[in-house]
Amino acid sequence: MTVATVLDVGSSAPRRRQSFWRYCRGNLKGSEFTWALAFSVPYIAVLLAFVAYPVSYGLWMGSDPALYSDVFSDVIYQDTVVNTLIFLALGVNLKLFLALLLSGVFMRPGWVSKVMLMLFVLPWAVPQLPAFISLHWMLNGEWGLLNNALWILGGIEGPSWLNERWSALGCAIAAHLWKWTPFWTVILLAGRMSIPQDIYDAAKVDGATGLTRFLFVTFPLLANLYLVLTLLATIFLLGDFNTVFFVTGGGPNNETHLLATLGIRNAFDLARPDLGVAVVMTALPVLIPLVIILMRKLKTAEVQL
Amino acid sequence: MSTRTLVAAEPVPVAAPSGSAGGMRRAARRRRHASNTALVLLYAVLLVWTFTPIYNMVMIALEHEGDVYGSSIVPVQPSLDSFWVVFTQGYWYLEHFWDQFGNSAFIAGMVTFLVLLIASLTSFTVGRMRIRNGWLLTNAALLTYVIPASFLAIPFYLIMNHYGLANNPWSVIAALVTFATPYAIFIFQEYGRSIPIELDESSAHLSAADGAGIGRGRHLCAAAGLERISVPVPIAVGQAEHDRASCTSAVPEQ
Repeated sequence: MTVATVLDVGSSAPRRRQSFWRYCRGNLKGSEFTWALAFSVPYIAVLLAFVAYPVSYGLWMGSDPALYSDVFSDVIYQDTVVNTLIFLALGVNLKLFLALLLSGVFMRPGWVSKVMLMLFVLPWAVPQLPAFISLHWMLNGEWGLLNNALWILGGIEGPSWLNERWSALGCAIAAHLWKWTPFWTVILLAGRMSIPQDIYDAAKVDGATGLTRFLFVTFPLLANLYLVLTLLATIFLLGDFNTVFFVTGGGPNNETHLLATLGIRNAFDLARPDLGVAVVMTALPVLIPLVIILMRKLKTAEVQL
Repeated sequence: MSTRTLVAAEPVPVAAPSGSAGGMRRAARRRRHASNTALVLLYAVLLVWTFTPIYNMVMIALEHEGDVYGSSIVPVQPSLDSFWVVFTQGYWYLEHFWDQFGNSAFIAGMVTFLVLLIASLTSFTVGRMRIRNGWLLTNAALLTYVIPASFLAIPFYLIMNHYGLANNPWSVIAALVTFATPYAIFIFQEYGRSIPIELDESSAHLSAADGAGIGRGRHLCAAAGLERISVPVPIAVGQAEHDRASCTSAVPEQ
C-alpha cells in the first residue's frame, strides 16, 4: 500500500505570505477548485458520518473507568484474553508459515500446480457464513461428517470436538487456517514471482540448490514482505468475529470467546453496549501500536520484493 | 503423468558420488521419485483438507432432513427437495425468502453503485486533480481499517438509531459502503496512476478552448482511460460483493 503524495509544483515563486484560501486552492484555478471540492465532499461526508462519529461515540461510551473494573473482574473476560492470545500466536504464525511453504510448492512449472492453486483458493472464495456453518455441523460429535468418516473409514470413535474448551479452540484455529491460508499464499506467491530469475541463476552457479537456495536467496528477499504480512494478519485476526461465532458460537459455556465475539455478546445478548465497547477497547493498546508500526514499515521501506 | 511434468528442473548435483555415470543417474532418479511421491501426497492432503467442508455443505443440501443426523458420509437418497422448499417458501422459517433475496439484491446493487461513484470521484480528486493535502484523505480512508469492523459494529448500531435508520436497509448499505470505499479508492488510484497526466492537461486545454469546462475534460480522460479502468472496476465490485457477504453478520440487522 503506498500513500498518494501531492507534488508541490504550484507554489508561487515570489515568497509572499499566502492567504489561507490561496493555500487551500493549491495549484488549481477557478472552477477546477470548485469541482475538486465537490468531488471530495461525498467521501468526506461518509467519513464524518460513518467513521468519525461512531469511533468518537464508541470512545465516549467506553470512557467510564468503573466499566473496566467490571470487565477485568469477569472470569469470562480473563479466559477470553487467554483465548485471544493463543488464537493470535498460533493463527498468525501457522497461517503465514504454511503460506510461505505452500507458495514454494505452487511455484512449480506445469499445469498441475496451477490447477491445484485454483482448487486451493476455493475456501477463500466461498462465502464465510455457509462455510463456517458447514464446519460447525461437520464437527458435531454425534452426527458430524468428521466423526462419521472416522468411524466408517477407520473404526475410530471421534471425540466431541466442540464440547471441550481446548479442542473447540483448536477447531476454531483450524477453521481460520482453512479459510485464510489461501489468501496469504497467493500474496506470498506474487512476492516470490517478482524475484528476478537472474538471482536464482547466479545462486545456482554458486551451488545453492533446494534448502540452501530457500534459506539464503528466497527468504531474505521475502523477509520484509513476510513481516508486513504478519503485522497485517495480526490486525485482521484481532477483529475476526465470524470464525469463532459460527464455528463454536463462543464455545461450550462461553469458554472459547475472543475479544471481538465477547464484545458483541455483551452488547447485544446482555444488552450492555457499554460493557461491550469496554471489552473491545481493552484490545486497543495492542492494536494501535501494531498499526503505527505497520504504517511506518509501509512508508519508510518500500516493500522489498 | 510423466515424471518430467511434475518436477521442476532439478539441477544435477555437482558433487558426483564416486562411481559410474550410471550410478549418478540412478541416484538422481531415486531422488526425483521420492520428491514426486512427496508432492503427490501433499496434493492429496491439500485436496482433502480443502474440499471436506465444501463437500459437507453440498451433502447436507442434497439429503433429506432425517438423514442429516445419520451416520452416512455420502448423501443417502440425494434429491433436490430442499432447494424446492427454499424456492417455494415452503417452510415457516423461509416465509419471506424472496423478500429477503430482493433485499440482498437491492443492497448489493446500491453498495456497488455508491462505492464506484464515491471512490472514483475521490480518487480522481486526489490522484488526478491533485488537490492539496489529498494524502490526508487517503490516509483517513485507510484508517477506516484500523478499527476492525466487529469493534465498530456496536457504536454503528447505536448511531443508526440516532440517524433514524434502524430497521432500514440503508443502514446496512451505509456500513458496507464505509468499509468498501477505502479499498476501492486505493485500487482506482493505483490504476489511475497508469493513465498519463498529459491526457488531463491536453483535454483541459481543449475544453478551455471550447469553454466547456472541467466536465468535458474529465469525460475525455475517462474515455481514454476506460480500458485501463476496465480491470479495476470488476476488482472493486468483486471486493464490495465479497465484503457484503461477510459483513452482514458483523452489522446486526433488526
